[in-house]
Amino acid sequence: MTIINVDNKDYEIKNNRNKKNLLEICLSFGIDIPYFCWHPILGSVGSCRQCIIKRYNNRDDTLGQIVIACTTSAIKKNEFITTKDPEGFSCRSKIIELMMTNHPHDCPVCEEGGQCHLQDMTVILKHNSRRYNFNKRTHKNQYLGPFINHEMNRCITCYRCIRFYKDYAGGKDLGVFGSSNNIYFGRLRNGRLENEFSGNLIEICPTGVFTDKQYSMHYARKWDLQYAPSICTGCSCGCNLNVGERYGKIRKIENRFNSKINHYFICDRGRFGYGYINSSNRNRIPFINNNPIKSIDLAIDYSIALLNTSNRVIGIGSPRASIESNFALCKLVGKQNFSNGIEKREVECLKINIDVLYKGALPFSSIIDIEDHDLIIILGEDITQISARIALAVRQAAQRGSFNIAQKYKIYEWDVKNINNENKHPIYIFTTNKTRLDAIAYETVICTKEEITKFGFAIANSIDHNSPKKKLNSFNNNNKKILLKLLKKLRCSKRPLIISGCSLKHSLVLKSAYNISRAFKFLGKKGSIILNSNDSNSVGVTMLGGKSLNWAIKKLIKNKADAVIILENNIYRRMKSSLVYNALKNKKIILIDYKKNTTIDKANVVLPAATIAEGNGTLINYEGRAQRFFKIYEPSYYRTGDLTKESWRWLHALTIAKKNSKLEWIHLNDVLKVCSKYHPAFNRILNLSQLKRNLARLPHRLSGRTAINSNIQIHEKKIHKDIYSTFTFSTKGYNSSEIAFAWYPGWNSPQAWNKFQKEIGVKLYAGNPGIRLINYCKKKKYLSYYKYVGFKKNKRWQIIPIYHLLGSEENSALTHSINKCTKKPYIKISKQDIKLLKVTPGSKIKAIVNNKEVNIIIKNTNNMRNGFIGFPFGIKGIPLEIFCMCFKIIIIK
Amino acid sequence: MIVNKRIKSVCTANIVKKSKETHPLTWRLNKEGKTIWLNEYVQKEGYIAVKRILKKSTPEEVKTEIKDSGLKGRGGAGFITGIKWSLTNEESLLLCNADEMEPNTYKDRLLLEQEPHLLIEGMIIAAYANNSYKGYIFIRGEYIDAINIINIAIKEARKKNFLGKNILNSEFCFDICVHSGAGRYICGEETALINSLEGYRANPKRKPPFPGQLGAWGKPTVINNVETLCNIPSIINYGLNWYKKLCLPGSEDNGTKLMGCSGKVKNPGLWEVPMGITAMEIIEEFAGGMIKGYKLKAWQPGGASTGILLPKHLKVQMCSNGIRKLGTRIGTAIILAIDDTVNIIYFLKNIEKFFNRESCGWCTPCREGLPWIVKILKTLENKKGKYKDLDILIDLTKQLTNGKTFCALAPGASEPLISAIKYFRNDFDKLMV
Repeated sequence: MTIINVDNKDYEIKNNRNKKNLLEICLSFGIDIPYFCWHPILGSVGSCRQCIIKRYNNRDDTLGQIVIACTTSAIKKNEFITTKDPEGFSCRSKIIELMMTNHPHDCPVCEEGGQCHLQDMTVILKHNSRRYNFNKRTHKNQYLGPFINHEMNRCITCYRCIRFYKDYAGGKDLGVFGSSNNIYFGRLRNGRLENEFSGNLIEICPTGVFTDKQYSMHYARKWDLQYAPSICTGCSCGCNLNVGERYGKIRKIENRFNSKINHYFICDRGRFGYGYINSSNRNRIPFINNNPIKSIDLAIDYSIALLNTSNRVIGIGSPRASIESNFALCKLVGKQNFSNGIEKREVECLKINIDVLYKGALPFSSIIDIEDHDLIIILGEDITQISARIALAVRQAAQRGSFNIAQKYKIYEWDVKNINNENKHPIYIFTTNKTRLDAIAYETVICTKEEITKFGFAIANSIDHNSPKKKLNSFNNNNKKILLKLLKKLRCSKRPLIISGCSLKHSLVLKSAYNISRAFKFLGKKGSIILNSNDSNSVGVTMLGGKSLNWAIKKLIKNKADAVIILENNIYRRMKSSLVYNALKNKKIILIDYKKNTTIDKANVVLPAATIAEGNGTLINYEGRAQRFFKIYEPSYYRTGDLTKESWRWLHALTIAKKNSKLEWIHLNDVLKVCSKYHPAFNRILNLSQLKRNLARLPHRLSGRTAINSNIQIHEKKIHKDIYSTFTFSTKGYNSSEIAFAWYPGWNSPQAWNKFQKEIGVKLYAGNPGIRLINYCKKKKYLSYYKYVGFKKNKRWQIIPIYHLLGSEENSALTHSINKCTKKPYIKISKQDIKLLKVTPGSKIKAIVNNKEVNIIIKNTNNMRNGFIGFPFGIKGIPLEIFCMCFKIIIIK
Repeated sequence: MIVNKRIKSVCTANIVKKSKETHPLTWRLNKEGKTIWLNEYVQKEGYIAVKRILKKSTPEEVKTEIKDSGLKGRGGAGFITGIKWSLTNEESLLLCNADEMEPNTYKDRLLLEQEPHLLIEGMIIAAYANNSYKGYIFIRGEYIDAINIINIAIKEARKKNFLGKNILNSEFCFDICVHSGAGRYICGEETALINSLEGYRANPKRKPPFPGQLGAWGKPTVINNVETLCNIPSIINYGLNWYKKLCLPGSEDNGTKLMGCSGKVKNPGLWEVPMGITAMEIIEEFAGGMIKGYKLKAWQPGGASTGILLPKHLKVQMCSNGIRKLGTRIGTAIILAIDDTVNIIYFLKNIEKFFNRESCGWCTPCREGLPWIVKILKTLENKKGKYKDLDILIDLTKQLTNGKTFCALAPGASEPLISAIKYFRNDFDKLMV
């Protein structure tokens, strides 16, 4: 134990000697030491020289020595430091004076104002008058794409941006130029920042150099935004978000710290992809046969009449809707009529996912735990584009190769980034198309999904000969060499990780991944596995049960059912459109959705569903972690007549109207209490947010609640009371694990997260919100090896989905600025195939894909295998049905 | 052809009388200033030290010998070379810091251009002691002649198997690469030099880890100045006792050093002199005193980053302990004589402008403080300064001290300013309104 005496007060720290620097330690005691370049994740570099403190040799030492807190660790058993002596304070305030010599005084028009770390630090240091009488240096700004504003004049040169962008996130197109006080952080030339995590620059930058362009279109001060904790629906990671709203519109999304999932960083899809919530294309009131209805009762009555007159009602759920909504649908239509709304091949994959979660040989790794693995094998999943946050963690795992050297030379963990080191942990990627992780991978093998499977089975078999056979001999020399090297590395590895997922919709890939993990176990390794799923609640809805979408469509086509309720699901994206068309023909359709999609014209009743912004609910991420999202604002408060309700409320209303019974489900937990009777796994969710205290949605510094409607009416509008969740629509409330906004007296910027953390950058005071539903149990019978199943010979052409972070996901792609960044329809084929087809690369051609004409740009690539056609997944202009089993493409030059 | 070209670095050191016992660095120099190529070098006792250590000594013995000789780094900081070497225990890289960019310094250039083989021999011995298999000479980009000469000399040495595999039929392998810098003062700082060599921005890195533990490309790296390495062969040749006796009484530094003098003196130049010689001797005897009509107003002991001293300080011994008494450093030991026609503030503005331009922009005090200093000095130059400007200058120099800045650039830059304010307050007052 080390005793640290700060300003004549003793603090104890346990086992932390040498691990933490004095700045972290002091911050965790609640002592405010100003800093700029240090960041809990990026570590210390000591460039800003702001965190100067004084350190004494012993109790009797009166002179002391000036040290930089972030680059000094507690070495002695008894440390004496002070933050209050005049010399230290004057040094600190002179540093801020120097920082401000070139910082423009444009706070009133700066989007960062009110959440600016530089403002906070300037106030803490009481710097308020200016001695610098010369011109400030000026820069030209760059266009950095539709997400991020660039205002270099505000730069205080803390180097955080490139340390994050280049060193942490592996970005290549942001650099530092110039010298002296003419340092420029930018790109070589104007253009969009290409990294998947560029949006984090907004929060990383301690001032307003990189600001949110979407937010600046309609910015409000942070203290005037209404916040609630939310969960990202962009992929299956389940990153935690704080969503800020004003006047009934989502204004911005910030990262919410969760020490197991996203830490401090979220991807651009999650941060910027909220446009669909604000879209004018939303359903705000019910429609009956395309006529708007202004009454809930009418809509319910009409729907009941529809349901009562039908013989069999099929419910199609959604992997994107909350557990509560899906369960409510299941309850209404009955388990035998409930489909989870996912295509058959994907359901097969998800079932393996669930099986491995329950009975797998190795535990699922949470995203942050990925960083502790020393060998990673990725099978068939382009995680950089599908679940980018996982890829970011994989990057860190690779970089931790230098930790071994650091240990050898007793370099502190916060200091590791200081050493240039090419010693990386090995990553092996088996993929159908090149990925952005290839640059840091030891080997990338580009092959078909069948070959990926073969590789997987072969690796498992070479480790444990009891696993299904796939001999090394069946590979060519080059691949055999790669495999042998991999196996060698694997034997040295202490904690390997295997990552695979549903994106190829090929269950054998997942099976082979499991077999490898089972073989790891055989070796006695403490490894982990990740089987990724596609949507934010894929795992949750699969846990609920229910049949595949194919089943539902089949029943409907065969007229085995005459009514269907579709829940927040655009089934045209999941199945061949002609099949869906036939299935929905002459059926009674009730659509519960938040946006107008293809089904809407045919629907008899459309009920307006809430998005994550307007409703409460629970989502379950890829590792079976249940997390709650909370209503951010009440739509009817701003828009009279807005009848948006959570889907489960609509479905419950239908259920009770059908039975003529009383309203039972009011709170979220009421739904889950019933749900966990059927599915005990969900029991644990009930432990979440059983808070009796009220929590605030509005920051305590809110300035204008009374003025918010004064342009319409002078009378103050009554605050909407939230009886459904622990949050209030006011500034009054406590702190808990569900943190609506990161704010603390004196700390307005996202750096305020320090104040919510027990251990800086590691642990929240109240723990992480969310709970893992399925625990890995060590003493049980593991799932045995999956068997190898042969497959049919390849057709001449094999279609490969190419995923894009911006564009492949349905909802986020509706955001205007994301739409700007999505790729134009293209196909990728190999150079040889380009010759074969007699087309020229880069040329635009017309193609007929399943009777639809599509304009496509031809791209050639060295990385594509012959006979492969890579299509971008989910991009406007490319019908999704080509990724289904049957397709027909005619290319017209 | 460069081989027979008269080298521009020809100077007083070429002309003065020298003997190998008293001038271990320069005794081989010819009067014409021609480069001493391999044949001539070997004739003049060249590569004897290498032959000897390869046959008779273990690396550890060489290390101890250098450590015991008390040889100090000649780059300006004066760190004991032997201690630096003792940090590395494993296979390491050897870096020669030839990025001589300190204003008013021209000593390494002489050695690089005229005695390339002395440096190569020194490097071979240093590499042998530190178990290095590869050496790099990071050479200032503007030293085009020196780069060419060193490259030719390396080729010569390779031909005679002084470099390459199994040097002189021993088991020791070592080769040298020449890397020319792109012209940044900060590259003289060892960690910035490593960054630059690796292809990164030339920003200094924090120590620890010291380059001796984790240096270039994550390998233990020994970095020495050109002159330091050139001292090594003669220490091996003539032994400790001889080396220790070279300096004058009162000096804590052993050996000789290239010292020079420039400014309005009669005979500016560069000489190899024993450590502990007085500044008076250099200016008056070697440089011949001031030119007629000029009076010595102030002087700088060793480069622009050392403090300004007064004529009354001239009796000081030129060695680290001597100069330290006056509150500054010996630096590169090349004296700049400032005459009475020079306004000290104009002079300061010039050198601060240099340091400001060469600041890498990493840490706040240096990046933002130096431009501010230059701007204030400019207003003073234009006679528009105000009295509070002086307070700001004093404040800024306090902020630019060791520990508060990241590396030694800013403290070095503030040293002349601090001393100027101390000794020439009147000059400041005259320019203020």
